[in-house]
Amino acid sequence: MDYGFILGQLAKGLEVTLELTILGFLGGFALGFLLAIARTYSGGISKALAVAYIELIRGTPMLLQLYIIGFGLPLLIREYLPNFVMNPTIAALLGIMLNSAAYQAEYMRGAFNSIESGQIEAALSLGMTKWKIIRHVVFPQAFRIMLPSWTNEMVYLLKYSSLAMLLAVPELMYMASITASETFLYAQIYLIVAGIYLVFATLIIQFMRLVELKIHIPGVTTIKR
Amino acid sequence: MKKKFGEKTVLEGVSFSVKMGETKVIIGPSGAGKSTLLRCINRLVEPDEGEIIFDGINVLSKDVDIRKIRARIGFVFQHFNLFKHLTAVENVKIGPKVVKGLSDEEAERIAIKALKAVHLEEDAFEKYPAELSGGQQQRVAIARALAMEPDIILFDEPTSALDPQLAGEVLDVMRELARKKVTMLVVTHEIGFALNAADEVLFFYNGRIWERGEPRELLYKPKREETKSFLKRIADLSL
Repeated sequence: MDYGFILGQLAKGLEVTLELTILGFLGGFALGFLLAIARTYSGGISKALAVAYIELIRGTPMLLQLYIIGFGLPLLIREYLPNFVMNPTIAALLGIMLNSAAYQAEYMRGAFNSIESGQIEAALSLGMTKWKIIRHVVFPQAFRIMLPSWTNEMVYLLKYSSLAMLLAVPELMYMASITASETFLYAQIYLIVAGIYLVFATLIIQFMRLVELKIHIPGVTTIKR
Repeated sequence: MKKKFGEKTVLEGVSFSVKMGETKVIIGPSGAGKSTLLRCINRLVEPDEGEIIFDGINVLSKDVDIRKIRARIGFVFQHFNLFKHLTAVENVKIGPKVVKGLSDEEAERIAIKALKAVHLEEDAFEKYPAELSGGQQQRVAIARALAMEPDIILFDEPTSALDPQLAGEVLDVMRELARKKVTMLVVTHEIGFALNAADEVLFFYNGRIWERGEPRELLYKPKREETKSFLKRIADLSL
């Protein structure tokens, strides 16, 4: 059997996996930021909604969330738009974003709350608005404090995006399993796939380590060399 | 002005004024409401009743934009409260730049002038707060207040977190500001500063102004028992 063919299939899968990871992370960041702001700095209905959303997502399996978006949601939409077809990759990406947002919101909330109230009082005393304080005082520090949690989140997404195979998304695990069943080279293919995940997880970890070193500020973050 | 925290009355009805160019010092035991008073003035804490008139404006009235008032009132904290992710210069620059909307160059110029006014060593300008001594941090905090060109600066025990030598360099800067007729309201335990820089000293006790007067008068010849015993405890000036 042709290893060129196998590697080609896996490369296609890897591309989708990386798309899911990167876009899922970025989308999760944008929504997570809003959720964290709502949970930390607002009150009333927007805070309640943010808390409810975060706990709903954290309290249910990601696979279930993917099934609801991939299989449940299209049925619901078809009630109104009979010809609607959900692209499985889009469904998985949406699921990963919505899931990651809840976790990222909690990382950000933790980091926001770790900025001492004294600095907030100082910023208020200068006459800053809430948004200016978030933008110029809280976020630049929270961002740095949060980096290790972000590294974790990216590595999680890289690995758990493999759940998308159950929506028949042609990501790395899905491509591996169909190629394996075509070629019967299960052991070889799954070992290669393990190596690919490991290499990319390590790359993410090393890259984030460089970012941490690059933007380190004494007194804000601590770094062991 | 009055302030309660739950059932506990912190300020029992306090009334005084600070004129332009004046340095007023507040002393008193902890729990007397001194810090709360300062925090009420720029509404970091909301007073329950009363009025605070700043340049003819009632700070407590509903239609006042408190941020505009805060921009004109400097505040120096016991624990400095510098922005940890910003260098000394950036800490001082941020007010003029972000609040007043000045250009980067203009803000930088003002920041450097303010840091020179507090005698910050030039090699400390680009350092982060964690790399500065407590005395340097507090001087940067004073410069941060000065850079806003405030009408008054409130000091909340600015030297209480410093050892005596570092406290000295901060007090020197504050004395210099008093001489330059910067309007200041200072809560402190530094009797020496009260003695030679204050125009008037207020002794706070149980949420009230218990006794007030010229520094020499109040510190050397206090009239009330509580004032005497407080002064005796923090610095025995009787020779």
